[in-house]
Amino acid sequence: MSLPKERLLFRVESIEGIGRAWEPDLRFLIRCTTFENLSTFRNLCGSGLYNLTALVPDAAQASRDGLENVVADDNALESGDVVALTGGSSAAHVLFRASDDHHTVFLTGQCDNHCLMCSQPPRNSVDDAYLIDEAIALSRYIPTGQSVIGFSGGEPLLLGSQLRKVLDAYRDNQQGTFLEVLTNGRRLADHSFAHLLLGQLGDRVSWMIPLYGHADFLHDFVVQRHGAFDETLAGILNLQEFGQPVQLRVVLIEPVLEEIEEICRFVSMNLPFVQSMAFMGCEPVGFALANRRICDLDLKPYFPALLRATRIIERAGVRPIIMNIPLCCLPGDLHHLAARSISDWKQRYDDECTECKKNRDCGGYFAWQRSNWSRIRITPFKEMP
Amino acid sequence: MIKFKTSIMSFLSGLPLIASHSDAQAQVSQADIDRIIDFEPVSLHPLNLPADNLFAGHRSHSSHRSHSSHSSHRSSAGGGYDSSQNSTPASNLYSTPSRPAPSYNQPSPAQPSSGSQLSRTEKLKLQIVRVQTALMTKGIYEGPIDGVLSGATAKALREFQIVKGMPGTGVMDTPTLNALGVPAVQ
Repeated sequence: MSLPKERLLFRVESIEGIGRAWEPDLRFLIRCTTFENLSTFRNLCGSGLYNLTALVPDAAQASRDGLENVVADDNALESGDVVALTGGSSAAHVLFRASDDHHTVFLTGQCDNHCLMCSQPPRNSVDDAYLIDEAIALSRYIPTGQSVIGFSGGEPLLLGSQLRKVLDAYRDNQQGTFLEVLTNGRRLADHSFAHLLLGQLGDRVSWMIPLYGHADFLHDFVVQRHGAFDETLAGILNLQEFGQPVQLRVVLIEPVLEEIEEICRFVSMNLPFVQSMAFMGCEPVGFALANRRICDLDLKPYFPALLRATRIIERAGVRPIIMNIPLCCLPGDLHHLAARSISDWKQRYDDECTECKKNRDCGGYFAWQRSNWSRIRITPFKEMP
Repeated sequence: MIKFKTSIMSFLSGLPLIASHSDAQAQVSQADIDRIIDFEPVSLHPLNLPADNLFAGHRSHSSHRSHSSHSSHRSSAGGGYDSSQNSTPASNLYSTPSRPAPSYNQPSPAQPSSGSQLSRTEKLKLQIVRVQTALMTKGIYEGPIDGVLSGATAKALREFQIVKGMPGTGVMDTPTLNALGVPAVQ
């Protein structure tokens, strides 16, 4: 007996939790760790619950009873997790981990930008349209009550009108949850598309849009696409027209840092309506490794410019936020802007960090930062400054 | 309680002041302020309030005219947790997800089945299924999980209520749902 060949979603639940969580049209993996669990599981299936599969630490007992089962390590999955399983494959794709603080739904691997420091290089030749239906189905599987769910890619706007279906599904099935879309905004330059996507969308979606220049030559260079700057700007203006909150994001690589004050002046004069602007440390994976010369930087020479840049946008009423940089790699007068922004599953601290007086406030660094970046120096704070 | 609220309010109303001078007051870090501002109100209330439970007075299957047609029309849909499932051994369970969906299923996966799109009858059925499931996981019910508040279900409910020191009514009233940990279907 085996799973069907198609990719299916399951929500993990405990025996105790299934009475609370059961839904007629979802599939459940029921954690059966004891013999008693397994016997209750058998009763539940025998009594008519048709959508349960046993999650067992070892196949022997369940197989003997002829129970449909999935074998996984005891601690691999916990209640509330959502996994995608495919028959014949031994890999489980965990789409949602209940214990994580940051949740992101991956919508597509394709992108119309080609950024110099892209951490998730586009896979434009791969047909991953199945991700759309899966994301919509996932909106029912994720336990309700999450504070924020993010959407990322690739470029989510490449889904076209399908993106609206995805957002509507999460808006309806995850009530009260805030939704954040990470997008380059280019397709929103088309006003009729913007109307289709944003009309009556409500106030629980916000948009995270990268801006890498104060003029087209710089932004278009960083994203490696002609015309991208104009489209992204038009997209941001359309978002404003539809009352959507926007956070701008700049990744701190060399060509951007050189002009960081100009970029902030541009934002303060032309885009003062955006909520916030994030200054982000560069994540050392993907294309950033190929463009090491401009991505692997010592930020120190740029501290004065960075400080002035944050003041410029602050004066315009745009909140500066610093992301992905450990506190010990920032000057003291920027500490209050630093957010614990690195998703918990890729966040790391060093041995030295345990003695640091500020580690509770510090976002740490990327799991792969130490091995890949040469310029990062972790130095614990001995005293509270 | 009111005193507590007022003191919290006056505390919070002072916050913008601190926030705007955070540069000057280095001892209050931005992260501390964020933690305080993120402070979400926590109210103390049971899993289900009385008004949440649409079926508090629902007694038994036979007394409810609207259920009498169920078994026939569900079995024709070829799925679901009707009685024909009971004879199906668990061994071919896995064919189920590809089977036609139960008749009350929403056609689109985007629609919440426990949401308002369900008819009253479907909500009642889902609520009974959850109660039956919870009773079975507690080892006090062994009958079919079919969404029908049968005599056996009512008996198990009574047993559970008595163990919990509640009046043994056999009815899915709100305190019983709360004790079972089953959210009311709304």
